[in-house]
Amino acid sequence: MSDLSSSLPEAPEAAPAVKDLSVFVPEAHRRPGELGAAALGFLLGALGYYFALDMTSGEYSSPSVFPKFASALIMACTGVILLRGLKKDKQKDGPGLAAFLLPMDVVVVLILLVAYCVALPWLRFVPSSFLFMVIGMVYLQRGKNIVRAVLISAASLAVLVAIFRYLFMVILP
Amino acid sequence: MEQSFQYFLIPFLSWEMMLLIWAGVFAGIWVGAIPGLSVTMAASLLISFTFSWDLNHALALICGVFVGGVYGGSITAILLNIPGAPAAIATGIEGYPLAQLGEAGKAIGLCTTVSVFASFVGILALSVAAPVIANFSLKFSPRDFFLLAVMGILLIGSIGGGDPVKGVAAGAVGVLLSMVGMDPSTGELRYTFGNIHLMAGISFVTAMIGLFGVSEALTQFRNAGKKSPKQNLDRIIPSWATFVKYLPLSIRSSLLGVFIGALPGTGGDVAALLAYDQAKRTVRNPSRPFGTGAYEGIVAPETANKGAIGGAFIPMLTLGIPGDAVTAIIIGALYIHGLKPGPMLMIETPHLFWMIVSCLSIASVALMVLGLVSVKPFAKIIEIPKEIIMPVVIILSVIGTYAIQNSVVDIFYMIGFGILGYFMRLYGYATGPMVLGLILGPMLDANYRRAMQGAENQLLPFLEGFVTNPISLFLTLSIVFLVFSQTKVYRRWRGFE
Amino acid sequence: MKKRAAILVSVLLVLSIAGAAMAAYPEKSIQGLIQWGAGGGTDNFARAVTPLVEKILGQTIILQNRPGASGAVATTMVVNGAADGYTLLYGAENPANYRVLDLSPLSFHDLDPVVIAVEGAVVICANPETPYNTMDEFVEAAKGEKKIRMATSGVGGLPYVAGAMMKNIHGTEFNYIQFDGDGPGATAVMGGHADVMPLALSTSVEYIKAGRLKGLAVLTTKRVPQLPDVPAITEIYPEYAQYLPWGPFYGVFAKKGTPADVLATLSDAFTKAMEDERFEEFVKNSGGFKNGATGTEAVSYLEKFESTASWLIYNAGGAKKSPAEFNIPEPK
Repeated sequence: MSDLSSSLPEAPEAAPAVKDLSVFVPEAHRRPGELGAAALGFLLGALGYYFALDMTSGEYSSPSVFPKFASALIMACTGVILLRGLKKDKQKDGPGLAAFLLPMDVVVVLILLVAYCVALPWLRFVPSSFLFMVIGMVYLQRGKNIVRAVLISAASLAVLVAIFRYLFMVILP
Repeated sequence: MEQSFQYFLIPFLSWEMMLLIWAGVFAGIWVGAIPGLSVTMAASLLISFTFSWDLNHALALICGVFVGGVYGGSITAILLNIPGAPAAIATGIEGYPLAQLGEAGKAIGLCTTVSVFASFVGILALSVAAPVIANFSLKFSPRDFFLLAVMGILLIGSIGGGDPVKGVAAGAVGVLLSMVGMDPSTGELRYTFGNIHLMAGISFVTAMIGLFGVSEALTQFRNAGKKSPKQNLDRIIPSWATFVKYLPLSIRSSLLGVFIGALPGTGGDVAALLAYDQAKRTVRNPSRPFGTGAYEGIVAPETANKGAIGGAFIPMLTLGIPGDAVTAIIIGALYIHGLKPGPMLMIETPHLFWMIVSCLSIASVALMVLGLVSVKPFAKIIEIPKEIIMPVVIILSVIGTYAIQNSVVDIFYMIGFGILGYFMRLYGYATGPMVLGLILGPMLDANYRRAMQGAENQLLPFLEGFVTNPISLFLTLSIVFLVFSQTKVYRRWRGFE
Repeated sequence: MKKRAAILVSVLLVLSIAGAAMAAYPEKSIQGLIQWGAGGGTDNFARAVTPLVEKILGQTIILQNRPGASGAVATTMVVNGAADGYTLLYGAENPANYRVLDLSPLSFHDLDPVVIAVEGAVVICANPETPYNTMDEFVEAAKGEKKIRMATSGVGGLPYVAGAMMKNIHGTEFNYIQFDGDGPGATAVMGGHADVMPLALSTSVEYIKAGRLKGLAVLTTKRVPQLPDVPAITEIYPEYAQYLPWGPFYGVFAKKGTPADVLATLSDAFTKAMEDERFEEFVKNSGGFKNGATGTEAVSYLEKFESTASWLIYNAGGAKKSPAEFNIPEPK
């Protein structure tokens, strides 16, 4: 090791200890849609329990034991979150639900992702991935560096195809 | 003894084998780093590839890929918050915040150094204590595996973000999703709704790539203006003092890794998660608070998953029982090459044991060199603007997911998990617990039910087992302690607060 | 005259085109789907035989593991593909039970066997510390007060069916504990977490030789060369003969309706590959026996297996549907 001679115990912990404790402080205001998210979770638990009722049960080792347990746990936790959320104040001057959930960039990427899923089965992997990368990069860079985006997409796709198709013999979709 | 040493020298005396080990480690680092490509996949491909080779050469290559691959998984976890393999999930918890602080180089450097150390601990345990550990690992009953899974689940308390209730909720959803598919013990279909794709179950690697990779990419697009962090690459090799400082933790975690790796069916992923959890609970003055970039949180899982490599070979070489998925494939390779893996393997072909020990040692040295050399180029990856890197990351996630089992449906699942993960993060539900639930759910379910069946479905004999069997009692008490150690009373007494 | 010549020429032309098409198979790489995960018995078999077959066919066979739902996922993929011989299934005995277990509407009737390559025998194994040392003592103990814990690989798997045989013949009830497969089950029996498990010879032979497991009887009519000291079950209980021969097997299958010539090319290639001494060595070491049945011989082999296994599972109470619903004849 090259720096054995250095006398001062150089340590990564010398960096300033930024104590970000914000995650431990309960928020006074609820985020837009927070209640809806908890309610959806509760619904998932309820559905999970409902469908578990059809499974074989009756013994402590039946296949339905864990699904029921997990569903009940989901309902209990989301129930608590729901109640706590109700006690919090609604945020007054924050962003609306749509703006909070889906800023423009995220919306565009999501649409691209869905379009990619739809295109994949009939455009095949290589063209659809190439289009996804190019459009994604060009949009995110606000229309600048189009040539660079095309080059980078082509190069990274070539590397990926080489590794997966030819080294790992994965037949691409 | 002299004979063993001669066997140990086999790879040193053949330049082909040396070359293959180094090549294997190099390839392994990349295989591990790319999400979706796993050492298991690489090893099974290599078996066909090396069919006509000499067995020693084939094993040298596979050992190299194994060591390199377990290491490579951590690189992407630190740089992009996409663990290249499940064994690297715990590494990302602290590694990714470090990369965001511009300390990716230091983090990977430390990771490399302690990895090599741990890998040697594993090899040492393999060479001196294999039969003892193997026989002890057989004593682990389904009840004990259930308890180990419960210990893993307790980790939700550590990685659940600020709100434990939300963490538990996310973990429970993970467990519920892991139940989808055919119940392996009765063949009953759970939550499949007559769909053949659901019958095969939801692969947790698919979920992992989506919940970490794609959801990370989506979250990044929220704060568009933010620049990628500038990386400080001056000192990537940790000083001797730093290494010594983490030595006790390294030894503890790598031994834990050896042991978990030696248990049939559990590998580096469970080992790394348990090691991270015990570090978080026992380290008193971490370099930064856990969750914000504590180096201890990298040392513990990294030493555990490297220790698990040597560990996984222990039951394989002494009993013919695979310690994890990769050693299961190596057993297959031995069959194909005309050997008979089993308890007699060490007696009938003693050279094999020492040759593997030696291949693993050389691979560890190779890892030190290749790992440190590649720190700088790897760390540069995060300096690429995210507008360019993120679309590539998404496509990488797509192809990696597809490659796991050549299924287009998995791609849709993965993207679905990515979108779900994005919304979960917005509302303060950490994605880690969900992946944890997906990994540990089947282990919990199957082993609980086995233990119950062993007690003939009687509640009382089932519960009795937890206190009458010494291993179960030890694990039960450990769990009680783990829960107790989270309480205020204990933390005040030990001076944590 | 001219007309006849024209017909003759055109027939020849068609024949030669057909001939060319015949000779052309395989003209591109073949996809091989393995029903079970990497490192399992089916996977080992596939990876041992395929490199030899590739050499004979002159084309690569790209192997992929497609595990899931007892192999029903890979089976469905093959059946959903084209019947052109470019997608092959490397599978084990499981499709015989899909219908009675209600896992999938498919069965071996939806596939054309290329070859039944390897078959194995089943050995009833016990933990060395159990008090019974012979099959007789074991059956007596099983009839006793305390239920013996039998490890299985899940309802419908081979150990389960073997347990069903014992139930039919001796009326013994076991406390079944389900593990993830033969390997994990064998490990549990060695560790004493279950008492007994009927195990494939390939999984158990090395453990029996090393004294880690006790072999009580082999479910065959003759002793097997790998374990000369373990009696064949019919030596003790001749009643078992009605179910035998029965045991695990690995084979290669194509979708039903694959052209006969393509199937023949494949069958020949596999048959030839299986004569390679490296494959013989693999079969011997992994505790199996070469079967090599192709064509109608293979079809009747599959039908016999299906009938034995599905009725045993049904009679043991493990089936969701009666084999009669699918016109599976009861074994004689």
